[in-house]
Amino acid sequence: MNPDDFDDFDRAIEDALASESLRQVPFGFHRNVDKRVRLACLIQRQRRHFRQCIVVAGAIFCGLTGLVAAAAAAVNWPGTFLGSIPGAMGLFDYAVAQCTVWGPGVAGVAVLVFASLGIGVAALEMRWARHGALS
Amino acid sequence: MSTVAVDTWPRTLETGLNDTSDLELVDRTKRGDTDAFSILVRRHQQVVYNLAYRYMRDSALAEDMAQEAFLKAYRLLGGFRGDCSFSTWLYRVTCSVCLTEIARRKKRSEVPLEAAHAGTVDSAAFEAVDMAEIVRRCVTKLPAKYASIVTLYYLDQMPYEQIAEIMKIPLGTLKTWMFRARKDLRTIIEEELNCREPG
Repeated sequence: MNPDDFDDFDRAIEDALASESLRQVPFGFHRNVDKRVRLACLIQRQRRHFRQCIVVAGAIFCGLTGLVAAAAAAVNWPGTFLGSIPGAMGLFDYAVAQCTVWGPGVAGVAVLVFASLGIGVAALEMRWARHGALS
Repeated sequence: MSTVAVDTWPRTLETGLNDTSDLELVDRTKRGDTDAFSILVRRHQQVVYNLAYRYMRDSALAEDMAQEAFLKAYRLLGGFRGDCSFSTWLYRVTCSVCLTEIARRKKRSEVPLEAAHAGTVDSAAFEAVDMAEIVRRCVTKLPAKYASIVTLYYLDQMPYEQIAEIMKIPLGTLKTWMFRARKDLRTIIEEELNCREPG
């Protein structure tokens, strides 16, 4: 192989690349891929199941909270309860006034924290989807 | 250069496992049938493994990369719309997996085992190094896009049309890249041979 002779050199490169035959797949390759695919499938299924459970649990919690709040509003439990304690209504008014002052700030911080958490979880999910949770 | 039609390739890989088409197996896999994907693996494992081997030039690494490619293909199968053949899409995934690994290794400055021991090889053994293997290893030193097209082309003489489809580039661009890749490859091989010249 003489690098100065371009025709021969090109031909030699062509021959070297074209003459490479296909190698045999290692023994057990298919079985290993099969195992990993089944595991990935199981993980996917578990993840979906977990997500469904969280959504259902969240929905039940929200529903129950709504029901309790509606019932409390209907029969005025807080008013009845606070009215029975001397000075409690004054404390309640104080708490409401504090909430008016600090409420928007606290709500803003809460939204920021939960949004950051949400973005973090979404980024992790995307990373897992691209590279796999196990890799 | 290539006269093989896209639909007849690969010629050497007819497994005859069953008559189900790739797309039908993909649909079954999407519906949760892992056995269908198993048939797809059996059908394409040889080309995927050889493609990975030509990128990595190491049997163990190639096996790892081929497995990763199949696993990634399984995970991304939901996004396969069927606008190209499954094999084309699968080879694209394999190329991506191998190139990512090569880039990762370059970033970590990992030295291949053979290079780490190069200094201990005596001159007689040095002479005996297979020239063809040197040429093949030089392909991995090409820029990623050129390495990909050269690897795909010499993998059982894959037709230009399918390579263009895998790389998602027009046929004309592929031909230009191929010309530049051959030119670059020749330069790299010349440098490699000059470096290996005893004395």
